Amino acid sequence: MASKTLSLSHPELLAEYVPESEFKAFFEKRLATPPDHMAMLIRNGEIVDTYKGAHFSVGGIVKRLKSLVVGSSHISILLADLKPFSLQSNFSAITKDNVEIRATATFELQVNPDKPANVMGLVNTSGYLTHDEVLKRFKPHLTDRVIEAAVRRVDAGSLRGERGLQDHIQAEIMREIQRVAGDLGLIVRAVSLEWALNATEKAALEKATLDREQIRLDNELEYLRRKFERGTESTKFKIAADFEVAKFGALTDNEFEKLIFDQEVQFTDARQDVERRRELEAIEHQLQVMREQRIGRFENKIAELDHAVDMAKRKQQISKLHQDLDRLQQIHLAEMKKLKAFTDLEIRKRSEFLELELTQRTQQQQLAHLKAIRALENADDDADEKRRNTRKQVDAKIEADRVRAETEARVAQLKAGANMTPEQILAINAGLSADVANVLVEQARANANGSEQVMSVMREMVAQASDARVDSERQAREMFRMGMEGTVGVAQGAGPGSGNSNSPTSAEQQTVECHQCGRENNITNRCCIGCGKQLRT
Amino acid sequence: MFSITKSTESANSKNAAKPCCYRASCHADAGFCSDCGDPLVRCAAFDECGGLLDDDGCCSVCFSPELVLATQQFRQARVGDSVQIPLKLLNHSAVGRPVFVRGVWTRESGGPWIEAELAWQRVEAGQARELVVSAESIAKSGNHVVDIVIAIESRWQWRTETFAFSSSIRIDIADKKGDVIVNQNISTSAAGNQTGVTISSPVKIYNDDNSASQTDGVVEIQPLVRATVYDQVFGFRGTSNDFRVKRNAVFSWSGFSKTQTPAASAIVTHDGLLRFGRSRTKRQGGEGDVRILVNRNDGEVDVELSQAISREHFYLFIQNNRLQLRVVSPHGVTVDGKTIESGQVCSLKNGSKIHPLPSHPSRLELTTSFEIEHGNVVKVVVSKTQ
Repeated sequence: MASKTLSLSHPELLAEYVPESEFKAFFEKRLATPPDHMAMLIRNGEIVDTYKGAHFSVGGIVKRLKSLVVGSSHISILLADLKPFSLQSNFSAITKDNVEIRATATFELQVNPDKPANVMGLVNTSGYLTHDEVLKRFKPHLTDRVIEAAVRRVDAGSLRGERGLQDHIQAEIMREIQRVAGDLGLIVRAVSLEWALNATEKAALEKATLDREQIRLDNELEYLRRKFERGTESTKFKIAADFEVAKFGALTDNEFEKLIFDQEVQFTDARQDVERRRELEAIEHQLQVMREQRIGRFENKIAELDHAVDMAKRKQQISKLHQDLDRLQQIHLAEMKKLKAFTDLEIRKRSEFLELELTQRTQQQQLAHLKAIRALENADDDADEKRRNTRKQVDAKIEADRVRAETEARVAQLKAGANMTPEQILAINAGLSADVANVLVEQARANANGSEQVMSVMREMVAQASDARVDSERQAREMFRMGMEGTVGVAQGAGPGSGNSNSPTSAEQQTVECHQCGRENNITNRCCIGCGKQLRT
Repeated sequence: MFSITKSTESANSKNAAKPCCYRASCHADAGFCSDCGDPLVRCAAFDECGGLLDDDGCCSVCFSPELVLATQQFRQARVGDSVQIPLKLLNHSAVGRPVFVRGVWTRESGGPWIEAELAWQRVEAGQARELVVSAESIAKSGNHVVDIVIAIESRWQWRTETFAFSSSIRIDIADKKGDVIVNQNISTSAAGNQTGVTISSPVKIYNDDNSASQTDGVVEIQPLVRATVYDQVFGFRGTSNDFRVKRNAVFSWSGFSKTQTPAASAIVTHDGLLRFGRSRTKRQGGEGDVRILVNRNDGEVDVELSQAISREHFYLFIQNNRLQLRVVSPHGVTVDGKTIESGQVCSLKNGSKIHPLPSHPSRLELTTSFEIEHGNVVKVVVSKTQ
């Protein structure tokens, strides 16, 4: 009896309950399952047996009779495809640099051959299970938990070709499906994602395209430029060569090589024409400058030579004039001799005299020159000498005047002394003025009792007044007022402009030290110029 | 047309130095008058001007400005128009010192100060520069007053001194036949000869062109005088702490040996600078004024650190009523924690701390403290601590 091979009613089905009409019959029905399928015989909701690539029989009158004895039972057969099957689904996610990417995931799945009965849990209420139903069931678990989480870690630019990322995603998906449907009899064999082109990659591609286009355009430009240059150069070469074409036939090999070399030189020179022209212009300018300099030097030299020639001509003229003079002199002497105006001796004497005179004149001129030079050199000495002489004269005159004045003064003094008291005469003789003398006499008489004592006091005061160089009445009274203390300072300090500037004890030359700061101060200072401290009242 | 009256005011302070002090200042090394003993407080530009400073620190030789009314033309304006008053600022400096006008401010009837725009700054000695002051629209009879403040600056090398001078223009307005007649009285001081003149300049304001008639009047400007209050108000001189370090403030020293500093007095050097540094002082036969050296704990001089101090390290001087420090040393100086580079100037305040060696601040520190009376610093104490 032949067996009927069970098969799934549609290629999209993964599992399916075999309709009862297939195996319920009066006689026993023999069924067969392909090797890649598995048939599960279910009696009263329990899998009683599984058949994989085997034959089995169900139903028939015997079983019907047996059921009459032990009671009826419900039998069904679930047929599952054990071949690995492939599912594809599209996903979208956002990368680390916020670029949306799209990918197609390919799942390689298979009903677990070790636990095929578990696939029964996936079968829908209509009694079958399709591939799409499997995908719909798992997709929500993979979108956010696996794919978006994985993609979020990488940039869009580094997504493609990242095997580590693929492995990571596959592992995560396997674990997730194991978690969700591992006990339902599905196993994941492999998962791969195929990335769609994202915005970054599109931009990079466009950029690369543009770069290539740019390079192409640059190359094209360079090609055109070279082509143009070659055209220009070849034109030049052609123009240059055309002149030689006629000669080619008659040339030997050496001459031909030389010609080619010459053409090459011309070819090179044509390209370097500007540089060479500039160099030539610079050299030409330099040459022009040098030429002008040389011309200038030559002109100067010629001018100097002309000057020397002129000088020589003048000297010749002068010597000629001297000769003419001598000749005229001789003629004159000869004529005078003819006229018997001079004797030979006189003529000789005259000639000697003339020579002597000439020599003297020359010497005088030289002397005058020397004197002029000497005068220039000794102008200051002469002026000093003149001043010294003048001063001597003035000094002599002053001395004479002084002697005369002294004599007159003495005479006047003697005349006046006739009417003076002895005290006045004493004071006047000491060199004091008449006013001072009067003061001294007045004070001496006031301080003395007798006439002899008056003279004694008078002598003392005259000596002090002389030492103090008192020469006015005011100074004399001040001297007495100060009690003759600090004679020198008071006398000189009280008489500004007293005329004793020649004195070696002049106040301007005396200093006093400040006892506070130690600064040297002029004795006339009231206060120290270093610290402001008052030095005297 | 014009009436001239005498004025006795002067642009400069009357507290000028005495003649004996001028005689004594002829000796370059004299710090005090040999006759009266007063300190010889010289102008910063003494080498050029030979002037001494008055109590306000103003040099009467450098600052001799005069403000006069430019009367070369008759002025007239309509009622309601502003009146333009042309003035001339003269520099009477007898030694050829130029001055620089930093600004001119005017104010009417106690209103706000308004700065006039000037296209020039420099006024050479003997030169007169013109400026125009505007009075606002005048439509009522009575007295109108325009106050003027002029900030004038003198410069010498890197130093400057700025002073405020003030004046005022009185404008008498009489109502006559419907016309408003303005009589400007402008009397200005003549700083050079100590006399002032009042120049009258009639200004006529029309109600309309046809009824206009010329009228004489007296125009009066108050003399240009030193305005010490405005120095502070405009911030030209003094410090923000409302006190002034005057040029004759006494400097005293603490922590120095006697020979390392000058005598306690105002700054009497010929250029007004106190030179701080390693070089010997004038008392020791050197060129410096204050010698700063670093001492070790045992009192001996730390030669190595002292050599880090320049011979002339920094200057102390008083400028615009402020105590200032100018760094000369290329290594700089720290003042109150702020580094001052060579050539820079900073103001010192009460309690400022100067560290001449920024790398060793604890080894040498100078402190300035002020003694203030009525807003004037009368004494500056420079203390040295180590």
